[in-house]
Amino acid sequence: MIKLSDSDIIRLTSAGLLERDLPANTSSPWMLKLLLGGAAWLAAIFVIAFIALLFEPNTEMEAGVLGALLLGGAALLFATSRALFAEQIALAASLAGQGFLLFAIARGIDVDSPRAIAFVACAIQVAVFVLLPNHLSRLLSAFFAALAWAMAWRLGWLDWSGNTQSAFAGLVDWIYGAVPIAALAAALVFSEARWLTAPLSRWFLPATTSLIAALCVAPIVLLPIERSAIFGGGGAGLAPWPILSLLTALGALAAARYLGSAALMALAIVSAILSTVAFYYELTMPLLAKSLLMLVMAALAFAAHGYLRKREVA
Amino acid sequence: MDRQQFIDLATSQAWSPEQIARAAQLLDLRPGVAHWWRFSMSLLRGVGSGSLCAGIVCFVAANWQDFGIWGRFALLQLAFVAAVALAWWRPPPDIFGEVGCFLAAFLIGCLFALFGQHYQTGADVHELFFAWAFIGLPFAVPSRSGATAALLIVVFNVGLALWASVFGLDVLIGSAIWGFESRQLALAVAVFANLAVLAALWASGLRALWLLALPLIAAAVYTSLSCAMTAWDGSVAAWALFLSGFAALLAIAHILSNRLLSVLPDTIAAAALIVVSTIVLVRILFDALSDGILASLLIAIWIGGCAAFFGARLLARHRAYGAAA
Repeated sequence: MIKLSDSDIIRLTSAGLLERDLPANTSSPWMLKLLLGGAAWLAAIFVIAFIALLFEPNTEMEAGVLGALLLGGAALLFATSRALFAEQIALAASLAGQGFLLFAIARGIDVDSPRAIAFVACAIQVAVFVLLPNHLSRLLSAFFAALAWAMAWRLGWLDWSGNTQSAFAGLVDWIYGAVPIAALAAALVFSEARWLTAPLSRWFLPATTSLIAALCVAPIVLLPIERSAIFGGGGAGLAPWPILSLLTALGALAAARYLGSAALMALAIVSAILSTVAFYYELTMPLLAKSLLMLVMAALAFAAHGYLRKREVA
Repeated sequence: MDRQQFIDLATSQAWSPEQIARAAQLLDLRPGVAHWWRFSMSLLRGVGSGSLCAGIVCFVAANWQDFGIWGRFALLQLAFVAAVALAWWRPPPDIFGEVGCFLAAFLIGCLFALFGQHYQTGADVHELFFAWAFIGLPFAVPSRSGATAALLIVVFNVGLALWASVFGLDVLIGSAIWGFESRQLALAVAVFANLAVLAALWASGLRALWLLALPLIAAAVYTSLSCAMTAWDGSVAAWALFLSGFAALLAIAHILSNRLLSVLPDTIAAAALIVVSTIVLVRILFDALSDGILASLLIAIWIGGCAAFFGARLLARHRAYGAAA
């Protein structure tokens, strides 16, 4: 049974909100989900090795059938067993199945563009998210669907010579990559009260967490590092891009704060720090200009802080 | 109350969307105006401090010739003195004091970088990181600030990683500079050094869970690297080094979990245990079995079993801690 403090019980009762028995405690901390998800990934590598060595799938048809069978088996296990061991095996099988299926589809439709492969990966993740009845599986698939989506747009202008596309075209792709994830996450966060107790929460709940987590990781994925001078790229004027990543991370931080998730807040802070590091390594903008930009940002932030503090005291 | 518990409660009481919003406010689960105000202030403080640090780093890296060597040193030292003065004027726990201490600890590293830029000291890079971490200590301890302590823990671990030549894959194959046993010793030292940092944090009263988790995670990573080396080419001494570090990590994580009533330290230890046992199994099974088919299957089952076992145990502990709290 979940535990409420006496003051919480009094507040809820006086508002007429506590009329039935308290439910059982089914919460699972984020670190356990991370442990189980990470272990499933590790196990999936060996499942893939086992299947590949045993059946030696050479054609896309064979790989596709194996992938579909693994995903079907995983769905069956998820639906029929609540045991944690079965859940872990199912998760590993599902991840391995997704790998085989992606390989088969990418080969089968003769896709040679990395961008198209990323879109296929996104579609597979969305299908897995919808169909496999498991919270941890949905968390993982929603996260990787969002990352695959961002990567698809990112790969649209990936060019290691760094000169064929304009920075503007890159910016448009960046917006396509990041904004839908942010918009979807915001829509879910702000409509939470409406779906929290509805059956849809089985999908919306993991999607909310995963999209905020993806919002912390995707902007790092979207950084055009190949355009920087380190890789011989000539894309001038790209240095402010990590600032966009920084702002996205700060948005994710606010969303995490709204939900009261310390783990997501920590992830957003790490993302913000990485964006700042990326800003330093973007060498197409003079260091002095970057220094000035950062110092102006610092001055503005401290001035705003001082203003809020003054208002608070008043 | 966490989010899942709130959802369970909302479902069990069949709350309407309006009732959910009201209950979230009553239980303090959704930030109100005062919360957002405080959050905005913290955020602006963080962004301001971070931008200031980044601006200084970019400035030092720019190596602006117009200033001359003395000018550049004077500028940084003035900034350092200003940060110390700020901390002196409004000592921690005042937020200005905390920011001052953090900036002072950060500027020490910038001064080292500037010094290294102009003078060939012959010092290895890891020595500079160690020096930075130790000289920054007087600012971390009195400030009681998690951010300053976290900065120095990261700096110290970068120094350790450079010293043990962890960057790059050469850690797995040994190197000409370090003998194999010496590398093992370096990794064991890195494990124990992080556990010592953890003990020091605890003793100094800096007991925030996220802060204590940093050296524990670093120790777990070094343990796993040590295991990878030992499993492939380990002498008895190497195994003894690895096992002593690993045992210390498990014991300290368990004690910490019990003291803090949180499963995070034990989860980090469990993750290390799964990785370490998988490495050892890969080594044994792929050697012992003629083909990799059975070995792969057994290892996948082992990882699934371990994760399920630890997951169930830790979940039960998490609920017991919740009840005890």
